[in-house]
Formats: sequence, C-alpha cells, structure tokens
Amino acid sequence: MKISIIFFFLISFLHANDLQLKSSILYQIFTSLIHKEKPIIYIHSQCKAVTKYPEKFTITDNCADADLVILSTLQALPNSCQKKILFGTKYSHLNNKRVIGAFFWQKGRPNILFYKNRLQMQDIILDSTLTKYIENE
Amino acid sequence: MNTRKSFIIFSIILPVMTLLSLYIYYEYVQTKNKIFHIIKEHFINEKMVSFDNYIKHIAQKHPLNLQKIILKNKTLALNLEKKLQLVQGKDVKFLYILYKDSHGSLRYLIDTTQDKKNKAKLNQKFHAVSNIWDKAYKTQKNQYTYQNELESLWITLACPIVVNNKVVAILGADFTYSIYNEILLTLKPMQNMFIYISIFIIIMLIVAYILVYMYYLMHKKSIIDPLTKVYNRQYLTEFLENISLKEYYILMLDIDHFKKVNDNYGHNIGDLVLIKVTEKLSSIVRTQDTIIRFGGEEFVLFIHKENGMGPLKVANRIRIAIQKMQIEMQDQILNITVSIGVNPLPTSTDTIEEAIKIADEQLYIAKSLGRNIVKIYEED
Repeated sequence: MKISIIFFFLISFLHANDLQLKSSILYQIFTSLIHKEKPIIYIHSQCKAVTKYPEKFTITDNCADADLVILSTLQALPNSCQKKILFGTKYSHLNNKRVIGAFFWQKGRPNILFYKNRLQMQDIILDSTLTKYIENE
Repeated sequence: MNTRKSFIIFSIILPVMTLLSLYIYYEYVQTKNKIFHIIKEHFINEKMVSFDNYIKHIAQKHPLNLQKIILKNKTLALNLEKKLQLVQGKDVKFLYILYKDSHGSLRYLIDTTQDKKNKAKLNQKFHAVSNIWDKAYKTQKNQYTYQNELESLWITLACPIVVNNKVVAILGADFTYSIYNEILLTLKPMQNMFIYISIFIIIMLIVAYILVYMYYLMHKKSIIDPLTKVYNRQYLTEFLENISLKEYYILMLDIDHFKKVNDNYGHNIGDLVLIKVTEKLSSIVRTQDTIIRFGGEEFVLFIHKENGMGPLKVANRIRIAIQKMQIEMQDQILNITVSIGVNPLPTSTDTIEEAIKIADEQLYIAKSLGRNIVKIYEED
C-alpha cells in the first residue's frame, strides 16, 4: 500500500522533482527489504537521486559496512560487495544472478521487479507491499 | 448631444465592446480547442486504422495460440516485429504487443523499440499505469488514454487482437508530445493573430476610455467658474436642454457697489466677496435650483417652482441672508447687499434671452430704486 501510494505521488509530481521522488521510492523499497529504518547503503558507482536526496539513508564508502548495494553498473564491482544484497537501477542489471531486484524506467513508465528464487537464495522476505513485484525467473 | 448623455452612452458602449472582445477571444479559444480535438481524433483514428490492418493480418495468419507461437519461435517473433516497425511511423514512440499470462499480468510479446534502455525482453512484465488494457480485453474494442501522469508520453492506444471472439493479445502504442506540439505549432499563427487583435482592441478601448474621461473633465472645467465653483454662462445652453422652463422662476442677482469694493479693498477682497456670496446662495437654494455666474458680479438663479414659496419670498430670503452676512477681512467686517430682479413667468417670452432680459430689467429697476431691493416682473 505504502509503495502504491508512493508510486502515485511519484507519477503525479513527476514534473516537480524526479530525483527526490526516486530517492523516496528507493528508501521505501530498501526499508521493506532489510526492515531497517536507516539502511546503510553503498553506491556503485553513482546514484544521483540518493546522493542528492539521501533521505534517511546512511551512505558508506566501505561496502563491507553496507546493508545493501545500489548498482548503476555491474562492472568493476568491489569484492567486498559480492556477498551483499545487490539492487539494480536498470533492467539489464538483472542479468547478474546476484541482483535480487531492480527499480528502473522503461517506455516512460516506472518498474519494480524482484526475482523470487534470488530472494529465497538470500533469505529475503519482502513486505507484503512489494510482493506483487515478485516474479519467477 | 448633452455631454452627460454622451458620457453615459460611452460608459455603456465601451464596457459592452470590452465584453464583446473578451467573448470573441473566448470563442476563439473554444474553436481552437475543438480544432485541436478534431485533429487529434483524426490522427488517432488514422493510426488505429493502420494498426487494425496489421492486427487483422496477424489474426488471420496466426489465429491459434499466438502467444505460444511467438514465445517459441524467435524467427517468427522477429518477422512480426519487423512488420510492426513498418506501421510505426515517426509519431509513435513505442509500439509493442502484450498478452495476459495465467496470473492476469501483462507481458511483452513483441517490442519494436530499438533503444536498448527501453526495449523490453520477450515475456517481460509490463507495468500498466492506466486501465485501458483491461478495458480493451473486456470490450474487445480499441481504447486510448492521455498519459497525464507520465512526463514523456502523450497518448497510449490499446488495440485488442481478437481471434474467434477472444482477445489473444493487445497492440500497444505510445505517442510522444511531438505530434501534440506539431498541432499546436500549426495553430499558433492563428492564436497569435487573435491575441494581437484582442490586445489591439483592448488598447483601443483603454484609449477610448481615457479620451472620454479627459473630454468629460475638460468639459466640466469649461462650464464651471473657477473662482466661485458654480456654473458659468457657458453652461446655460446645456442646462436649458435638460429642463422645462415653465417649472422655474428666473432671478437675476447683482452685488451692490461691487466696483467700490474692488477699488477700496482690492481685487482679492472682491474675489472673497464673490466666493462668500456664492457660498451663501448655495446654502440657501435647494438641489433642484441652479446658480449660474452670469457676469462679473452678476448671477442668474433658476429656482424650481416645486418649493411652493413663491418667487418673491425666495428672492427676499436670499437678499436678507446676504445682507446679514458679515465678511471678515484683516481688521474689519464687510457687509454686502444684493439687488434682485425676478421673472416669475419665463415661458411668457419666446426665447430664454428675452426671459433673462426681463429679469435683468427688473434688476435694473431695483438698482435705480436704491439697491438692496427685490423687484418682480408683473404682466400688464
């Protein structure tokens, strides 16, 4: 429900501040993922939305300390991130089996996607608000 | 035409014209929107016709299990994609075919998008923002919606592919704002023309308002005596156009020994006397009565018969009030008297000049009889 409401506001106020809303959506996703009010995140290699509007994120330079990694690219991912929860910002990031899900824009529309088996492999249980975005690979 | 009437007429005509020009602009905006709507509908219908041809072709060639065939046969999928690209045109940003899986989710079968970022994978889930897809499935008819919530998209079409009375897939098309902007651009010269015309009309109306107001002010200035602030002789013609003379008495009033006042005390005191006398007259007469400064120290009063007092009584009342009046100068008090000639029957003559002349003659008699007297005309 929360995510749906956020999506509604995201769509409604798109002209106002895309980055801020994107950051807000990511925050809602991550808190649902790891059940933490102040997730510690590592950005690989850039995420304008989160950098500019960190919300309640704690951004860390050390992947080992992070709860979760936001990907802008799959290339040159540090070793310390390999065992972390990886979340993509493009559909193509889902090509990597370790990436549990992604939030991306396609054809002018917002998309959220999680793969069931990948969530299970990492023992991640999503909030009920996100279950409709889970797919079988 | 009397100035007041002119001003009243202009005060009605100008706002009406202003409203009319605003109405014309409003009608133009409505017409423009209608034209836009017609062009848009025509455009959408044209596209739907070209899509319908493709859909019929698909439905005829692959009537059964379209989705299974495409999912299994990549070559066929590619061929269908190429054929779909041919009907895309430059106005359509995204063109794709969707189907509903067993869970009711929409998924991609074909996507003509070349851009990697926006190209969907085969069987990838489609996230619907509007309900036109369900509507198309339900009604088996083409649907479209405005994508007000999505920044880059203007309209989305959903055209169901129906085989044996069952929707097997939906052709989706997203239009960007480029065609919308193109239509607006086409209408822009017309819009600009109307704006220029409207601005021009409004400016002309403002100028007309200002000119009428200035004329009114100038006219007012021309009929008011600047010293005493009562009407001057120039006003007489306008006044007579608006009244019935039989309803009035004419009083001709002259300040006694005014020349001596000017000679002994100076013109400033003379002016003060004129002002004080006028103020006294104004305080005595009623709103229906009119005071006109006829000459230097001469006034003509049009007293309305409505007061029922009788002209002699009115004139004497005025004379006595002015006689009692004390005008304060620097170190002394000045007393002033007036002589008054009355014409109680102004309509007995052919012209107003003759009527005033009668009052003037009575005034002359009053002066010769010693001043500070009221003399009334009596018909033989």
